[in-house]
Amino acid sequence: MPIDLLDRFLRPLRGKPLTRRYPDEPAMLPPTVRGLPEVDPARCDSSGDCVSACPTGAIALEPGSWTVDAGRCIFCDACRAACPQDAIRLGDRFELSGRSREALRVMTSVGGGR
Amino acid sequence: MTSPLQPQATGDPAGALTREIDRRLGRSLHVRHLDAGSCNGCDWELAALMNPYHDIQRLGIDFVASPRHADLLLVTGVMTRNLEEAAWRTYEAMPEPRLVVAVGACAISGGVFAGTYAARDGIADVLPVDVYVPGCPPRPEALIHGLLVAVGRIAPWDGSSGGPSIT
Repeated sequence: MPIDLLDRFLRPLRGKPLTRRYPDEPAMLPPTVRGLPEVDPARCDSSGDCVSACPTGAIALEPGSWTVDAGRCIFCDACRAACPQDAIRLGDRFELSGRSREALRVMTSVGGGR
Repeated sequence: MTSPLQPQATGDPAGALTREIDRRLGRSLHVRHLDAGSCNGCDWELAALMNPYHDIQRLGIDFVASPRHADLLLVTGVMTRNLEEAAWRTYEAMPEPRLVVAVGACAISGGVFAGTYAARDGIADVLPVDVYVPGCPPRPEALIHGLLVAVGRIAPWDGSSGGPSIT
């Protein structure tokens, strides 16, 4: 209908600007956002299934620590799917920029096995 | 004579560029994007920076068409062997002080292409990277964050505070 088209055409003139204020305001993230993989230390039993599932070798599991290299991670969700304890989630942390390669490695202390 | 594939460290280019931009341009920043063999995922996110939702020109940041006009080189992709010399020449064409930002898992580490014969494992073998922006691809807000980290307008996440937040 012509009236509908006119309304649609004029809508942007009536509304507020679409531009988001990031970084002055928090980012508007979609509910499906995939951020940095995070492990729940209480649930992790150091099975290592996430390490073998990771296609880029981003995860390193050592006694007492679980480290994900954000510079290798492709945020594919395979570690979460592989975890038998359901201990891994892809969170909403996306502000991962760092000045060195080492700064991208995020370590979490885990129990160190059963 | 400097080998093109082994750039010499030049002190603190990030700090020097920040101070120089502050002095001359009021913290404006001109960015040259270089595709060094990417899948175009990162490049589409870069294109999104110019749309009305993100509009990085409000932050004084703009893309330019030549490295000779740029303060910062934004590199996406795995750095294929065919592009090594082109990437180095692009860097050489930039006026100093200059910054290099590696965007995406491929540019940082090779990502899913790490270890192949046709590409480097990331661009750091060829160019002196100042800031790494992880993601596959990084979302536009992550790119804004990385650019502001590069010019010192925002502090990088230290990797420890906050910790995992599983809900």
